[in-house]
Amino acid sequence: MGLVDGFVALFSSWQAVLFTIIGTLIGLIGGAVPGLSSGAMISLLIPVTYYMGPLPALAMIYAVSKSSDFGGSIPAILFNTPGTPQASATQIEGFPLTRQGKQGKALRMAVVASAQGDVFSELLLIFGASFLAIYAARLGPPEFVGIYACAFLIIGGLLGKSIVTGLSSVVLGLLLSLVGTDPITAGERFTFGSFHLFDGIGLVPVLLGLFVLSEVFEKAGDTKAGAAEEAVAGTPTHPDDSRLTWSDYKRVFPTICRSQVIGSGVGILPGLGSVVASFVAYSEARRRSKTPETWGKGEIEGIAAAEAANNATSGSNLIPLLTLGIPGSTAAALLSGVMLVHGIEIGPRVFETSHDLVYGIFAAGLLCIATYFVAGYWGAAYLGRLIARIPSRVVYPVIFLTCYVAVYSTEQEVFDMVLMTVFGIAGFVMKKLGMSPAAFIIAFILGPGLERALRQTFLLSDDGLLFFLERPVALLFLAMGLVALVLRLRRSRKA
Amino acid sequence: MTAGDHSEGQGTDALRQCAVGVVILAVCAVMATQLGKIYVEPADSGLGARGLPSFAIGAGFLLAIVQIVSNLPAALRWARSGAVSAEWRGAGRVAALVVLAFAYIEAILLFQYALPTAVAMSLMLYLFGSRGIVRLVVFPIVAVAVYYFVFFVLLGLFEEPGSILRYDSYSFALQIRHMLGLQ
Repeated sequence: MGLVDGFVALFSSWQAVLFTIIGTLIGLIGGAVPGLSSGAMISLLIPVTYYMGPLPALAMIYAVSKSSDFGGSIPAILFNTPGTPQASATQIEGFPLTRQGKQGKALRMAVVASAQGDVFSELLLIFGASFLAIYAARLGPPEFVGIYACAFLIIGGLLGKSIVTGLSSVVLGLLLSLVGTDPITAGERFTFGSFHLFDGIGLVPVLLGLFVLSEVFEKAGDTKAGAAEEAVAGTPTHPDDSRLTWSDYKRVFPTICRSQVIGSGVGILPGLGSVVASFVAYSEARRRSKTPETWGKGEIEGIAAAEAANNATSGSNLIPLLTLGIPGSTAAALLSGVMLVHGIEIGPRVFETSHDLVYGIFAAGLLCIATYFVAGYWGAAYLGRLIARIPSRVVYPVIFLTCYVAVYSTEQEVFDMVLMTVFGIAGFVMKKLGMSPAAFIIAFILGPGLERALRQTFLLSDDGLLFFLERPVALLFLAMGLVALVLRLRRSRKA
Repeated sequence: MTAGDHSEGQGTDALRQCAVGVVILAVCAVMATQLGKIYVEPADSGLGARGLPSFAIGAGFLLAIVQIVSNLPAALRWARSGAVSAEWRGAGRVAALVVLAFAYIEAILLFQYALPTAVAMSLMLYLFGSRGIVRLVVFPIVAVAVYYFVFFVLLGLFEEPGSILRYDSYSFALQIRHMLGLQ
């Protein structure tokens, strides 16, 4: 019933439908532009959402994050340059197929596997999240402290170049989330006497700085950056080279099914993301293959595995966000940022407080999949040719100056431009040093929630930290975080 | 991978980890100076207003010290080898971009939005390798016109008044909005 309500909510607003389609196309094009991450695209669009209703805004952002996962595979297949990091596994088999003149088949395989993996993941989100949210709504402040701590440990442990740099990113994000006023005493905190900081550090300048401006700085400092590999596409020798036949699909169907399960599973876990999912699924498919000698030379099954897993993370990584209020990936963190901007409560109660909105987003997800399937199946090759004609020497200056006017548009404060520049430099330095902007932003967004839960817990009992011993669920989450950290430590020692 | 590549990777990594430690240490030290200024209610019970900030600063200090202590010897060896200079290739362009960014913001405060944006766009295009009158002059003017139309006309933003060059762009934007049938 919820999904029906969602479709009614979506289709009763022409803006929601229109912005879902626009978001899908932006994601598709942006994902196909090498060097422009989906995080950067979403961050650039967040100021625009200030002028939109909650459903069109969230539907657009969700659509961008979903379709850019597929969009990244277009240049990976056609030009041997992945548009997004998660398309790197697709590139291994995709570009050799282009050299053989089978780029049409490769692109169609990518879009079919992406759409199938995405639908599976979306259904898991629709039916799994609401079910889990019923149980999550029963949790109290101590359990949420355990959940936040678990998320910080997992994300910090996994997202940095090393555990310590990852955790440092988390601590930095947490520390800067505390700037502003104390939620209980209303006394100022870390404002350094600046009235601009009384309400805390704005989310939009931080997002635009960390995810967009830092990419421009990175591009400016990149002396090795070269153009995409010259088009060396072979000529199709058979009509089947340009299309996906039923026998092709039947052959890879089990691989797609297995990969979508892998992708969805990886997507639920905070911090792992679609890059890990696509490589795990690709390796698994290669390991199981009866013809391993064909892999690396243009095996269509490899594209199916990587793309199905890659897109299967996009729905499932919203499960921790919607059930526990924990964004497990950059895209989920940015989506939670838009929810905060629109005053939507994040966490298990969102299914009660914003029922139609949440199901509307799910419906928008399905509409997005249908849109990028149609656009990708018949238009990916044309899009690839179009992208190849966009010069990066024009794209980055435009992005740079768009950031400034976009951040100004949110509060009409020049101070936000300064803040964004500072975070742009910070993001650039963080990436150079192996720290994780994604871990930083997740901690920055979750910081106020952790503080609220922690202070409520300490008000509930005079036992202090010992109170957690009486709460097994909180201890369980804490233990999960510690176990993840120990496992990462052992793995990095072995390496 | 050769043994040389391996030690190069380790050296770079140690230097990076040390740099992270120094950055975190600096941020925590600056924040620690503000810790005593956080207002605490006399009758405050529970964790208190300084509880989580103190914990975060403490954790930051601890992580920074661990990083510096465990990586300093390797980082120093690597720094002495002189191979660090390769890491700084391209830093000049980034520094130019940072200067341009702050100068652009300052210029907006002096001359309002349009003129600094056109100049900044032209400089950015030059920095990223564009050449020629069309790219460096015509394109920035068209881009400013597009930005102006989208943000100041359609979305109705107010321009920050300049302290040297000041003009009323809002009335002009309002006229266009009326012409387009917007409120």
